[in-house]
Amino acid sequence: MDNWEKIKKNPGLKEIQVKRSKICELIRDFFKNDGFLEMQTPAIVKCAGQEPYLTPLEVCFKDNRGKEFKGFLVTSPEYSLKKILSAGFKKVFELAKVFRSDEKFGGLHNPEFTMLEWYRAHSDYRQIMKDVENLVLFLNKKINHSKYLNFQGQKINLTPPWPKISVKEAFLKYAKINLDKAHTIKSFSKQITKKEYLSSDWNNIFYSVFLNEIEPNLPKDRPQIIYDYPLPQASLSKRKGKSFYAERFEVYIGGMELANAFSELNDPGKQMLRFVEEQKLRKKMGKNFVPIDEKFIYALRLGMPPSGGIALGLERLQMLLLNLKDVDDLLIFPSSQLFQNHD
Amino acid sequence: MISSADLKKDLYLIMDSQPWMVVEVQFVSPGKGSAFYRTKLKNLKSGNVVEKTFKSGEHFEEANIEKTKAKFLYSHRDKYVFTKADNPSVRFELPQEIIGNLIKYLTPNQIVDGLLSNGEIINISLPIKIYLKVKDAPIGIKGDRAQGGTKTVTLESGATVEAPLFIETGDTLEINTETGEYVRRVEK
Repeated sequence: MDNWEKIKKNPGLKEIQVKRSKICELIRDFFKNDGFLEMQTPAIVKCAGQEPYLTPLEVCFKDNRGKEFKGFLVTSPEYSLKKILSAGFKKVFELAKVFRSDEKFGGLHNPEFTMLEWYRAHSDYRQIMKDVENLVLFLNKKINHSKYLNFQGQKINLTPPWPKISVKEAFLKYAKINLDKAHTIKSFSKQITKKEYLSSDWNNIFYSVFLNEIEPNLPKDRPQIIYDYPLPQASLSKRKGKSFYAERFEVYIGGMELANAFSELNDPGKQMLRFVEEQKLRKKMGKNFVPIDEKFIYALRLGMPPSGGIALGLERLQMLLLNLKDVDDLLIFPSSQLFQNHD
Repeated sequence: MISSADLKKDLYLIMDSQPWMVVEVQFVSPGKGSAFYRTKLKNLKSGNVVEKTFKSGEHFEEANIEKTKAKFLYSHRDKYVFTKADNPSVRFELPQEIIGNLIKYLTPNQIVDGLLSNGEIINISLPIKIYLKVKDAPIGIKGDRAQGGTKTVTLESGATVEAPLFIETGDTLEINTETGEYVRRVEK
């Protein structure tokens, strides 16, 4: 039975949708009270995110003369919002619909979901850490009237500051791996004891270790901020001086990856190099071709101030606040019900 | 051969020459790396449950497990004794730790699925829905009914479950054996 019909039969389920709406309202209050401007950026773009492991949905459409255009649905509003920073806006946020193909329907994923992104010009990832701590605590106080979050039987204390561990420390502590000596696949592989973690892709070794040895051992009674990712994991974040690490952090709550943040890379040359590398990697992995967003590079060239920014999965945050394990119980029209034969 | 994308609950697979049942699967896509499948697997021969993460695109062998109906007779110390349903003279026994959680839903003469591997019954499984009588239900407090409160009731198999306040001793309940939760009252 579809969720909307379940609600008709069991009006108690309406509460989930009422609270989802309330959460969005509170998010807007939170940012507007801090002087942020809510933006609306396009869902259909010419150049989607170049992230090598994501598969954007391709769209094809025509104008009134029948001329055909090819584009993508955004995997994140990041490039648009950074152009907005270049345009001179200082504090912006958006609740953007984003789309990703080749992922599971249900559980922690849905092909269409909502990304809460916010950016601060003349700032960096340290301020964004404070923002996310304050936001989640604020929402939980308003929705659950407590500084504790109860998620799937686990009591999680949201009081800031949240525990933080660098990726380097986490690898040393939980997996006895020294990332300073893991710059190449060869040197990384040497330190791997379980052969099933080995791969020809540095990032896959990284996540095999992370998901098997580190994440399950992180403290569960607190949110966890994991920061300073090694360069192959830098994505669009700024390198930390000349080190092997970049200013990126992720937030984990209740065993779920909730958000990913950067001190934003604003050097057009370095950004272009990363795009070229990522495009090559996409080709090698058989991912669909995504053109490089030259206007984004141009925006960096015109000048994007040093900034901090973050992408947070709204539905995952709602699942945490409403104690739901499966996104299919949260959404009123989950893709599994729209596209798959599910009951 | 099956691939990690085919992983689902109750699938049987061979790993390190042992038969395993998939208890739980979670798809994890870190975004900055390939997708993974995080699973909980139960070793059918030892009853051990382990967590294991598969890379996307990994392949493995499906275990050839057939099901045959079996009847639970009795337990003695920590051994559980069954017969084949269609041939009561064929008896087999399984230790408690191999059956695991399900023992709390077993009642004498209950029909279960025996899991056959190479002609040998190595474990049992229960349907997701089973029906059990309530052996003991404390009296619910009337005023609480509107609040949809629950109370702990004991089933004939000895398992306890959280049930609505209107449930009485002698009621038959539908229980979900995966979650261990009350589903509904079947009859009074």
